[in-house]
Amino acid sequence: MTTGERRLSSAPYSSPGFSPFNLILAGAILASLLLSAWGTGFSPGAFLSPGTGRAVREFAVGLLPPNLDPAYLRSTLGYALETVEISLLGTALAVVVGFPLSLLAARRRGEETSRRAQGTLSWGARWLLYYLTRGLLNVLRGIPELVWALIFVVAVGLGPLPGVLALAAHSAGILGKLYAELFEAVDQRLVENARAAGANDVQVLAYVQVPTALPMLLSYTLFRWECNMRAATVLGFVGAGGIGTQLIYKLKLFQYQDLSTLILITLLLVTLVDLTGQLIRTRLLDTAARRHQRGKRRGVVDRVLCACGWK
Amino acid sequence: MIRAEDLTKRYADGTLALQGVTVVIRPGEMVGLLGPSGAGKTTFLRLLYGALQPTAGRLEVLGNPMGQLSPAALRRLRRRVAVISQSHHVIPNLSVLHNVLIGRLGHLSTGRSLLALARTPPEEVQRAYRALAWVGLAEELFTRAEALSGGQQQRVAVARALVQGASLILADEPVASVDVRTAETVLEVLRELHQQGKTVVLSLHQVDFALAYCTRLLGLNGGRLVYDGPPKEIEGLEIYRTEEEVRDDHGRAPAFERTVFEPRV
Repeated sequence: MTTGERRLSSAPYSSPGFSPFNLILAGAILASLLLSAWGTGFSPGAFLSPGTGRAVREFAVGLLPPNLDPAYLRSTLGYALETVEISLLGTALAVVVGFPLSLLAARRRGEETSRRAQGTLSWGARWLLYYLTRGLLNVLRGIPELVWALIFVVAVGLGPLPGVLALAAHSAGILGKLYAELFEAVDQRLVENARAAGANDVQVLAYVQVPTALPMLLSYTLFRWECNMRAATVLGFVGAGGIGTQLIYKLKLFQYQDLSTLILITLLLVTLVDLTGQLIRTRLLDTAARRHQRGKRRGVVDRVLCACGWK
Repeated sequence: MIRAEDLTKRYADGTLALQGVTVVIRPGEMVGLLGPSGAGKTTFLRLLYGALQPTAGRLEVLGNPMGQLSPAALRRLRRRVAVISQSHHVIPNLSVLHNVLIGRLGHLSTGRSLLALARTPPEEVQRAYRALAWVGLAEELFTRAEALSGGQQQRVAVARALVQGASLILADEPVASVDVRTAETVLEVLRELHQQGKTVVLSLHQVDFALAYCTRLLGLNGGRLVYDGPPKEIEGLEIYRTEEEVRDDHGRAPAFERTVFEPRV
């Protein structure tokens, strides 16, 4: 007899029913929605007013047809390429900054890391460093990319560089925290086994934590790149390079046909990057499962990774 | 080699896992720990390799006062103490070679061990190869550990302990979740180590294995030492377990019939 059956036979089925708490919750949600509508001056009538309709129609007609002049397309693709470059560099820099920070932001568990085993001084220093790093990561993460871009435009001037730095700063905060969580989530018994063989923290990291968390690490990093790609398209609004610079110019100059070309290219680009990232991520996470089924047959990627020591 | 006096361990949640254990284990002994689940076998072993801090009493391992060692001193001690656990012992994403290499980390400098991930020094490969050959896995040197069966993974864990060149080997239920053949391979290796003069302390589910392989048995129950003596005299003792207790963490029945589970009620 399974536990499920036992539970069914011993506990009579009872419907959850209404509880006063649920009613209050529903009321609160409704109230906050109404309050928000009032606060933002939103009303369903806004869609129907003749003024709005005319404006929308004029704008929509203005967008068509998109400017497909080869010379313009070429320059737009140039900006698109710059956007991809910003996202790539920004993500790479975020990894470079976020990874070391994640090491300090990952808690160590087990009694041998206790105050008694480590000595108050080194134990205290470790925790101080932990909270400082977590704090730094929170600040990096808490400021949105666009605000970072504004800050860096002031600091280093207009162009793609502040864009790269903005993405790097925000993503370093996110990746640092994610990596730390992944390292903490590694099975503690694996860590304890390596420590029992005399491994120090760096060795445990290299031989246990990174290899175990690697598929997830890569997956999260790729996902971050996809997000950065989307974010990079609007960094230009504040002068931080990429296709966004053109978007905001064309919008302000009422050159809607150029604008629609830009929007189409952006859409294409983001979709492409999303698909690429998704494809690689699915493969990464599936590889383990598929390899398990295939037994010991190894592909080219496996051999390369094995040569690098990660498999 | 090991000297425990009134050794007591209480976990942070208040569980009293070990109380007043006094025992001396001399070099060259092969000691089997027996007892039902929750008797304190794992706690005792984890105290021996410093994963836990004793709550009260004294514990000396190879002359080192456990619980009072600096992290550096603990790492030095651990080079001489090899640990084999029941499961969760291999890193699935690493090759068998690198898994075995984990046993050498205490001997290698940080820099050398990082380089070894990219290019393992020939003498380390040799050492790993010999250890794997001993447990019958020589051909799997470059296989990913994930692709191995449970029994093979257990033997990798034994090989990892072998390359450490330790004088004290601690094994926590090394044959609890493997087939009979693997169990016998593992125990034979431990016996050979014992015959080479190493000290072996292992916990076992199976009383007949303990009788066949150990020179001395310690019986634990409820955190107390209830038996300490040669294997012969344990027969009449009530530390045999019911079938229910022999089931592992996942509720599976014992893997093979040699498990002794006559209830002595």
